[in-house]
Amino acid sequence: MTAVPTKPTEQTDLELIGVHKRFGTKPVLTDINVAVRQGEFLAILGPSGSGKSTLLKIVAGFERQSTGIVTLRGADVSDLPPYRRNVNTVFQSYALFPHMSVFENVAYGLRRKGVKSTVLRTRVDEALELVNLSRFAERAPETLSGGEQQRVAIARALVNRPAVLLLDEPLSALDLKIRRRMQQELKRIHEDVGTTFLYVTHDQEEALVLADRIAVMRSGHCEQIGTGAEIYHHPATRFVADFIGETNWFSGVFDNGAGIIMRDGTRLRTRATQGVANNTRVAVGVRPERIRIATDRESCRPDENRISAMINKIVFQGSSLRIEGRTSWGDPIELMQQTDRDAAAEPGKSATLAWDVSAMLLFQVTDERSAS
Amino acid sequence: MPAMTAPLPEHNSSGAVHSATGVTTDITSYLQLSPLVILMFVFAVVPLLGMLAITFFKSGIFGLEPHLTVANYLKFLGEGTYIRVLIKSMRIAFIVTATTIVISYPVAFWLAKVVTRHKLLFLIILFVPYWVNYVIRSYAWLPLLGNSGIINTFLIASGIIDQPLSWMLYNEFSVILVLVYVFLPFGIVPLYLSIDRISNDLLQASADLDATPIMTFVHVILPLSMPGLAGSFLTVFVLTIGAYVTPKLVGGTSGIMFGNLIADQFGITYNWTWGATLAVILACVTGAVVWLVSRRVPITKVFAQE
Amino acid sequence: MTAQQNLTRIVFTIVAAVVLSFLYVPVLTLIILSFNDSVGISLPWVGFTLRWYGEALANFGAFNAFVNSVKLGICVGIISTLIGLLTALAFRRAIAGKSLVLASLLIPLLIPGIVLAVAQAVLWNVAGWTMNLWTSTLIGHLIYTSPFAFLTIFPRVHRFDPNIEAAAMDLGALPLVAFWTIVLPQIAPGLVASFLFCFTLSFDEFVRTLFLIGSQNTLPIYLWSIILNNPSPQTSAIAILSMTFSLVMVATGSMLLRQRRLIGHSSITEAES
Repeated sequence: MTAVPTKPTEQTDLELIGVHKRFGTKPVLTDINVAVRQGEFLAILGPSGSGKSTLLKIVAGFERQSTGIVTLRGADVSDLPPYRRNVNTVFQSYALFPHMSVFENVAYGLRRKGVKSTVLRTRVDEALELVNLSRFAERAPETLSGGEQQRVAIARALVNRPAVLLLDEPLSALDLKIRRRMQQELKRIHEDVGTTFLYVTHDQEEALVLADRIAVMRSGHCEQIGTGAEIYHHPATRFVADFIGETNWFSGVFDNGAGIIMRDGTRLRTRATQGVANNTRVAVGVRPERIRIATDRESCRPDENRISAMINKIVFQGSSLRIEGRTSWGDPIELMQQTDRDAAAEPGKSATLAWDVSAMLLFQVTDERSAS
Repeated sequence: MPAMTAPLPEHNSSGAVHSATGVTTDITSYLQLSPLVILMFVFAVVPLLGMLAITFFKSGIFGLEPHLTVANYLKFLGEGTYIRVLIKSMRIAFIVTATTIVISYPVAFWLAKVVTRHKLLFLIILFVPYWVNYVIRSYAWLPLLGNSGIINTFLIASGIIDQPLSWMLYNEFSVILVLVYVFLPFGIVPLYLSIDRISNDLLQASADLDATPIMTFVHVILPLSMPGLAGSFLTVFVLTIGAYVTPKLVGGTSGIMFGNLIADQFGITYNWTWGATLAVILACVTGAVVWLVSRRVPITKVFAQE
Repeated sequence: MTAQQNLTRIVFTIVAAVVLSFLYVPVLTLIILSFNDSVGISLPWVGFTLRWYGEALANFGAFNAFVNSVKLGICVGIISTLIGLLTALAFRRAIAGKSLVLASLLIPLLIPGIVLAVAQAVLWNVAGWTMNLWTSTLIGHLIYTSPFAFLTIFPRVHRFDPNIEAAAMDLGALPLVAFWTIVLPQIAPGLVASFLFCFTLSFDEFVRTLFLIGSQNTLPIYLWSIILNNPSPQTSAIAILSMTFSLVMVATGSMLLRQRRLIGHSSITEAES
């Protein structure tokens, strides 16, 4: 397929058009089309092996795509080596130069460009100020903690004022508490500086917290690009639904008039759907937080589903309760409830569970193994 | 902006990415290899092959006689002297290697595990005697072992004996003794590197499980230091079997080794083809030993210890 | 520490002490007898004299040989370190024929030196090229030392994080600039170690030199000729002087290396970090 660049707009900082990548005969990226808006924080989210790191390397210039173009602010940079592209990378392992002080690390890119020393000094100081490390300027990198080293790496990249800042799972080597704090830092820095951020991660929570938009990757394909809310509430594929947040999955047969028929005959109502063929197997998903325990006194509304389930376990998780059970047709089911409410259910007893029809996700099962 | 349709060659920046395509086509790597490859090929491989080739000729008065012959090898097998010296050299080499290893193990273990601070200092102390020139290291034993040497003078002066011990010099014993002395560091270093890598936790675990020190040595240290042991063995063996200086200085007539025989062919007699034959035979014997050892311990493991 | 562990430590320390004494006895003998006012190289002790050192220092032949050894050693050290570095860099990638190259590296280590020396001597004589210090001897030494250079440098290069070099290029450094400013400073200790090692190997090298030398002398060759023809305590004096020179060189070298310098920061010593 011939790749044609879209009209360059002032609003697009980075574009990948028709990008494919093969290592030998093995496809690593297939038909990637991403347009990153100026000043956007875009997360590339996916499990290991999804090709997200390769994608970043292609943007940085360390790998070359097999077909397709990469454009930066409208210009085709596909043939440019990394040292000629106006992008900078924050590496997962920080990759600080161990034989140079923090100051010299940050100054490195500016020195390569021949920036005059007075200007250089000011800019490096600014960058260190941005990441709150001004007092560490003369230190050796190895004397800094992980979080501090990561901040040096960020300063080192940002001081060059790149068009796009690339971050390759920068927080994955940090402890949980420090990681959360660094996430806040990153968000603040992004807002302060306004540079476009392209952020690779496998942590869906991190992506949801940090990014304006998320591109979900799987096995070299981009499954969906959208805001966190869009992806969460309207996942385009079962994989996306599975990868973000938790979902209960049930298998049933779609009947155009009657809804979805489960193994034991229970019928689930569904919204009007197009594109789902009659009498085919479908995968139904409901997120745990959308399920509630219905009391007998309420009657079933037309826009909700009610089923009967046997409760097995109630797990106290601090601010929430996780209630585990089994549906009448034998599938495991989980729901989440705030702790401030009584569970209204007991292990060993059956209960009525209800959820809104609009909260249900529906996907066609294309083969026996489905889209897992 | 041109649309890209055809697949383009990958460009890897040096060291940044490990491509999964297999062999790299980056020309710089092959250019970087070329000095070594050319050096080794022209000045090691080719000469060795050439030397092998001329063993199938005989030296005449005007150069090589132009017909192929195995006369050289037949001569070697026929004349008992040369075979005897070869066997003696192998014997000496094995004894020296074994002795060196027996001495090296405790010293290597001491350096690796008993010494905790100032390791570098002790290493230097170990090596300072080796800054005396190679030739002199053998030469220094003459005033020690001789009839009027230090050992004999001391023994006579303290009344332990009244005649000097003449068996200490100019024989196989002195050759073995001095060779052990000269090549001891080459035995210690590979073993030291290997033992150093054995985690202290393993030794403690062994003691915890009620193993005596000897059992710990046999079942834990010995197997784990195999690469070092093989390295020491091969290094010392190869050095010893080709020894020239030591046997000539302290060997007298009975301590002559194969290296001396080879060198003699390039002196006054200048019989190249015969000298080359002897060298080839030595190389084959050494190669056989190396091959046998490498079947127990792969060679790359021996030398690739970091 | 248990009694058994203590006992082990003591036993091993005693063994080590015995072995170390064994190593030093000939050296000490040499030093002592170099002051012996006797023409013979052995006992009896006649009297204390410095005349052998005087003669050694005035010995022009010995001095020439010593200088040749130093010059050759420096060249061999530099060239084989370069070769070792280039080869180690090449080995970072998946090159074709890696195992073949490794095998050729091992040849000088596993074949007795005398065999290789003979082979090279044959080559030089058959080809008719001039044999002297800077041709046949130099190359003979290079064949011997290059594998060691490689084995010393390779672990450092291998361990070097490729991401750091990538970071340098990401920040705008051309590949050669990245190598010069980032990789080289990091592997420098390995290069220095390789130089010292190869220098020592060359300086001490005898057998190969014997077959591949022309009309000049290196120190071992000179000493050998003296020992065979006319040994006297002067020989020991020459050797001791040479050893002292090496010691002084190494001492100064290691003092210079102990200070690790940070670019952009005043030098810090090992203890600080």
